[in-house]
Amino acid sequence: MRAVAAFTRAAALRGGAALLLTGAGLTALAPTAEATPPDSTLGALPAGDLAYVRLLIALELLTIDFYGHALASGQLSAVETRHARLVHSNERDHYAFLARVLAASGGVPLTSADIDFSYPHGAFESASSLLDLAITLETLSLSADLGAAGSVVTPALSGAVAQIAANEAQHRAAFAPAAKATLFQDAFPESFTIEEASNALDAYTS
Amino acid sequence: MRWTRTRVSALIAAVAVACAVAASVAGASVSGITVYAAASLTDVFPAIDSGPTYSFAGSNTLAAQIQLGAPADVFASANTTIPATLYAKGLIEKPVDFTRNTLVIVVPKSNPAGITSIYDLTKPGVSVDIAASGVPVGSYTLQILSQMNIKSAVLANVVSEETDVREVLSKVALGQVDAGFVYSTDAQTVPGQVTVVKVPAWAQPKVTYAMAVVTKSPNQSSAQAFVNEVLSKAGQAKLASFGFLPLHKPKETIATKPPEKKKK
Repeated sequence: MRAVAAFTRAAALRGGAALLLTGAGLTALAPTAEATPPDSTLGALPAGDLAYVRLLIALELLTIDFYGHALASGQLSAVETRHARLVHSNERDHYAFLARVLAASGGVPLTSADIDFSYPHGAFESASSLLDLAITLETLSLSADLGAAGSVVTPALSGAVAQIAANEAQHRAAFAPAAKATLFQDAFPESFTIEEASNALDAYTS
Repeated sequence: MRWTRTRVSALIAAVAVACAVAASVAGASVSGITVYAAASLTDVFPAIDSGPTYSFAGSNTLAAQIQLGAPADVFASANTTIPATLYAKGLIEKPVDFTRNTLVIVVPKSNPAGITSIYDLTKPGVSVDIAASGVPVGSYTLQILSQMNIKSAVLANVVSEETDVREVLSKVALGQVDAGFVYSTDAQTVPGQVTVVKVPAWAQPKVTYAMAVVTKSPNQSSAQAFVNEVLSKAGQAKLASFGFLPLHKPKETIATKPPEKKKK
């Protein structure tokens, strides 16, 4: 209800302008109706949920780091750059939400200073390699989020992580045409266990 | 101004400190002191300076000895909490952080349990060796397991608890257990005998080492010179060559192309 109320005429005009300027792909990524982030004041969470939150924080740091490098690489087209900027912003919002959840439970969230990420050789040397990696990382994030959403026992956290999963799927779809990847395929996308997600993340940490 | 005996003594002491510092910066050896250091520093400290007499063991064991009046001049711990406690008791001077480390899992080269992930340590029948909880590396291990929510499952497989990290490493290298938690720098000391399995970055504790001059040391200037030597550029480079991490993460070095090459 709040979200609908917040959808002002100005916002609608901005959305229209975005459509004209950048095409349908970017509009699909534009924040619709200033959606309110989920409530992060979930209080103390059980240990299993906290483990998932820690893992997802690291995954968000990975994608934040990746899009930071992608934007700095100068390899992306103007449209892809706008996509990447918005995705980068979304990932930072996910990180901020999850960090607040962990802090509310007394945990100390990891920051970019705590992890060194590594990427396949040449990942940032061409638009195609960069977009391929974007698809890989978005798919990884989607599967990890889906696994978390189905495994955590706190309903509000499960709902919020499902929202993040949906957003990662949007990111993947946004880059799929340029990366010549399938837009979608499975009716039920793969969902990772925490072990599978952790092992997949390990491939990008040094 | 009259030169009192106290002032002359102070001047001599100051000159001695200055000389010791200068000597350490110049790469000269500091001798005549005893350094109590964490077991994980066994290889790197003598490489930084072969002059002192070293005693390597678990940081908690060394701290207990210092509290009992052991004749140490410098104390170097694999964490910051033990030195902070000794400092609060007036037993050491203010500690300084000097390096960082990470934890890894080591398995025997033959890897009889087929361990490829930390989650494999939860499987029934796997034998795991850890350091006791009072030892920094043992405390860090428990922190990792708690953060990953696998503590009870892994602890059910723990067959032994050691008094320092090198004992864990030794048991794994000898094939007496299927896996153990050690610092990454320890794993590098026996490359042909163990295989390293990553501890996930998202569960890594912040492992920071701190050191200080022992308050009752009769060799204050030499002890301080050794601390300065470890903190010096040469000392830090030597730590890095043994796999220790700098206190501050260096700037990222991923090659990027200039932005003017954007495509239309």
